[in-house]
Amino acid sequence: MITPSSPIVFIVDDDEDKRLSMQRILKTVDLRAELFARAQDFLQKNIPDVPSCLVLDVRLPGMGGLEVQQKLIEAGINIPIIFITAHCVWTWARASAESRPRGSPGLVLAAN
Amino acid sequence: MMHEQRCGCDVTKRIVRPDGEVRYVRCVGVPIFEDGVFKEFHGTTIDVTEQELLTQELRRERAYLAEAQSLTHAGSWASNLVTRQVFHSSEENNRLYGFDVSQYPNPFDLHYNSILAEDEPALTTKLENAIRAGADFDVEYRIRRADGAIRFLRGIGHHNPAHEFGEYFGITIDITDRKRAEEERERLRQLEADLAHINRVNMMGELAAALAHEIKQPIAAAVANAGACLGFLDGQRPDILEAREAASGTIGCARRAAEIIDHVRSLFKKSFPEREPVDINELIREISLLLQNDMRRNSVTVRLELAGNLPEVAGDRVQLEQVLMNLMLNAIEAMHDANGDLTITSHPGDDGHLLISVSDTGIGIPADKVEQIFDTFFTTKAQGTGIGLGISRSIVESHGGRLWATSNSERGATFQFTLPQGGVGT
Repeated sequence: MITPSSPIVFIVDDDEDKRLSMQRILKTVDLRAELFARAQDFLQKNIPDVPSCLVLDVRLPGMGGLEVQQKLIEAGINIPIIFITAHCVWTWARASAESRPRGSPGLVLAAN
Repeated sequence: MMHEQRCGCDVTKRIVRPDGEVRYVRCVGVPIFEDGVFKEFHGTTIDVTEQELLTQELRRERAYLAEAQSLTHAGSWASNLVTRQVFHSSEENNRLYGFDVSQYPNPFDLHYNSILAEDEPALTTKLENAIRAGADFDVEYRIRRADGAIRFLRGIGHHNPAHEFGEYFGITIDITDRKRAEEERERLRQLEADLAHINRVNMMGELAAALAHEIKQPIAAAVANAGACLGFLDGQRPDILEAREAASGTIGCARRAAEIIDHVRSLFKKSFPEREPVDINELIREISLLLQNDMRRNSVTVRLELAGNLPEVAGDRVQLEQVLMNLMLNAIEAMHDANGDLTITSHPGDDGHLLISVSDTGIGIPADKVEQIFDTFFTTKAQGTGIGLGISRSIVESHGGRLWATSNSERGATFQFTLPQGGVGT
């Protein structure tokens, strides 16, 4: 059962089919998902005090994944991020890992 | 001026006449002896003013001429190229070749022997032809000067029909600086061409990558939907409604993937409203020039057999360029380091089509593969994407033509395509 205190997965991806399909997958394991087409929309959201994580596309129109991560760090928001990308960019992954503050929750890289 | 008793005198001096006019006079005196004893001088005085002024004028003219030659790095000469006699070789002419003519009995051989061995045969042929026809010539060649420096010279020769067979008057100009500048420009142009080529080749790869990405998105979503569908059906209390939604989501995503592919195909199939007249021969020459380096690197010799007065085709210039570039690159790769010959022909074919063929002497195509090679993603190359020939065929067909391959009876393969004259898209 999904309740107001159950964990939330935030999904930021500009592809609607991908957003919806990920939401469905999460629903099968009783996780609720909130969907955003643009990074800006997610950043304006007040994140409730429940366990949560962010599924973030690396390449987004407007603000890219790395920039979102930077903004979250600046705002002191500690949320684990799962990056999804069709491009295997290890230099990018390293840059992302290095900009992460010490002791903050981990980073998972997944290719779609 | 005093004279030895036994010698005569011959002097030219200036005198001032009573009316104040200055004249040049030449005094010639002969000593007269009687019984071995000097008696007197018999002499004569000639007014040489006119000659003297003329001589001075000539000297001045010659100095101006020499100055002009030195300023323009142009030397003059006169010579019989058959008998190898030199009648005249100006100071600048000698300076261009870098030697002191006075020290050599036959300056003609000296000039001729300094010509670089690799330039000599072509130059000799040109000169021989000109001499035989009694025609003027204008040639460029390189010499190795006495100091070892290589210089580019341009020789212009004029034959006066009133003169002996083989007699020429001409000038030699040092064009080394201009040539070096030309070489530099040529190097830059080649560099630009190489870059343009790299861009084109990369474009194919990038197109393939972008396409793969576009298609992968809905496929990933379809897989996720199908996974979700199974998830809703599995477990203690299957959620049929959600499973249904996920299943239709799968269908939607798969359709989207198919639509993307259709769209890409239609990009190549559809007739573009902007057809421009294309001179296919010019296109062939252009691409040959562009691929010069690839051919040199792979020891490939190109031969163009292009029909004159070929009608233009109406088409997409860039697309047709891609077809030619693709076929030629394939041919070059097939002949990798094999001293191959690449032959490109163009001629008017049947029923108002032009026929263009690209033949190589490379590894050839097995008989059972001549159609398969046009399948997208079929490739025999380690680095190839296999989309080149498929796209090429699509482009040619969209122009209303056909593209096919045959194996040569001897060696290699021939790719031929037709394009309708002033062609209409399908």
